[in-house]
Amino acid sequence: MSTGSAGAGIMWVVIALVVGFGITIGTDIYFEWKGMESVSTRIQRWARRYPLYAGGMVFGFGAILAHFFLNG
Amino acid sequence: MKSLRVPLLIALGLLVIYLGVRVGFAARDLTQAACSNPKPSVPGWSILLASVVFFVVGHYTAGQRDETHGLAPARHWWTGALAVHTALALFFFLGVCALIYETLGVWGQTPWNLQPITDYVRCARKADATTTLLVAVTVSFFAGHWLWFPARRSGR
Repeated sequence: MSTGSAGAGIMWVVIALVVGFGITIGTDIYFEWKGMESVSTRIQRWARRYPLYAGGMVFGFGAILAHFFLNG
Repeated sequence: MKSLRVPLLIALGLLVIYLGVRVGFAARDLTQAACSNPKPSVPGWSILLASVVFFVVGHYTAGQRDETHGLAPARHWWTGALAVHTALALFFFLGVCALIYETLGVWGQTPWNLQPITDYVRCARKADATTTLLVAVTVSFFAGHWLWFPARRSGR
């Protein structure tokens, strides 16, 4: 793996995370400001309706973290 | 309590921007020796453990926010629900795209010479374990804050 491609790859991963979290935080701020339900309340309502999907997402998140930090 | 929640979210947004800039500068100055460091300053299992702790902390803070949220009127609920479902669908779609990219990168026999995302994350840990730890716990905090497996029904 060349150093340049690793640096560019890390940059793209971070850009994706910052943009994703930025949009979600901005949406959450808008909901709070307008007195509407928060993003977490809405997603947790969705999770109660579709527990299999929610469990899959949490499992996938944990599996990815373990894959990143335990196998290397 | 809106006056407290909004500054908290703004502070978290600033933290994300700070971490993005910090990682950006670290990636710009990345060297091959740092990327292949055999002894990172923070072991992988401790990053994983810290991530799990912050996942739980994120959920706890979401519960604190929601406990004080009951008095707020649920205006424009349909628009909000549509926005959340659209965002979730987009999130799943992007997740599938990322996994396809990761699969092609691990496969290694593509004409585009793709590198798996795993390599980037492991390289980041070897080059700057402290920043990687900060990013991992921040992502885990938000994952716990916005997403939690519904083990019990609270009536919300």
